[in-house]
Amino acid sequence: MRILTAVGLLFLTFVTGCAQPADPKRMTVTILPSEAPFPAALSSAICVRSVTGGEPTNPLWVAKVDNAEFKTALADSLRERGLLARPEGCRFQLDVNLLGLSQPVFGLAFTVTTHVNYKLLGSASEPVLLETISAPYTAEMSEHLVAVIRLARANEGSIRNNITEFLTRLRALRLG
Amino acid sequence: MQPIGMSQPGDNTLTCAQLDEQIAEARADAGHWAERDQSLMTRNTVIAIVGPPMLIDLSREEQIKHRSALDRAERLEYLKRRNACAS
Repeated sequence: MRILTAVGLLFLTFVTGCAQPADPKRMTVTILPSEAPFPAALSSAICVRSVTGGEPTNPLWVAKVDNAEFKTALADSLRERGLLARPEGCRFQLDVNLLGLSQPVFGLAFTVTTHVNYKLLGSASEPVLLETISAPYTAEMSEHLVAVIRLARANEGSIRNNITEFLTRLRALRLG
Repeated sequence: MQPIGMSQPGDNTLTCAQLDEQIAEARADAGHWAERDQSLMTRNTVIAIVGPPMLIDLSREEQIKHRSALDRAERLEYLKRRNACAS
């Protein structure tokens, strides 16, 4: 009986626990599907002005992504490609609205889809690129045994895929 | 489930009257989805307390449609200003 109780408690520890916040490093895009160049006009020219719509993680509820975590990952992804401007050199302002995360409640493999609006504005505040991007990511059991951490990994993977898609569209931008 | 696209094909050819119509539609959509989102949040809170937890809905469809409708309205407002439509 004691052994069964111990096994049960161990199991509960593995499948439950406190919700984990997102790690910006895991959401940063380090590899892009193509290494084609970005438009020259975007080089060291973009500032991430605002990120809205994120939610802090409540440890007693489910893992979320907050604005600061998303902003760090996005800025680092832009910096990695030489697109991020110094504060005094912003030629394009980027406003981002995290519309929401579609998350599962139960399951072995967790699929999360993030929905994000990206608004890239020029020096006269004219829209240069307006994109609504939805990106899914599935965190399998192999990624982490603990469910709450697996959900956090799914959130992070989905944000990473979303930023990847944004960068792909940014690269295809034709600037006059 | 897909959010309402902020920018849509044909936006640049909309007349002032069409812009007004679509802005009204987007705002009505936003209000509708905001109400549904509020109901869902209340429902989720009740389920979290009394269970069963598998009935909690974390898809956030209502929130996503609410927020995307607001951004769509903002985009259409910009086009209205750019086209110098009467307010």
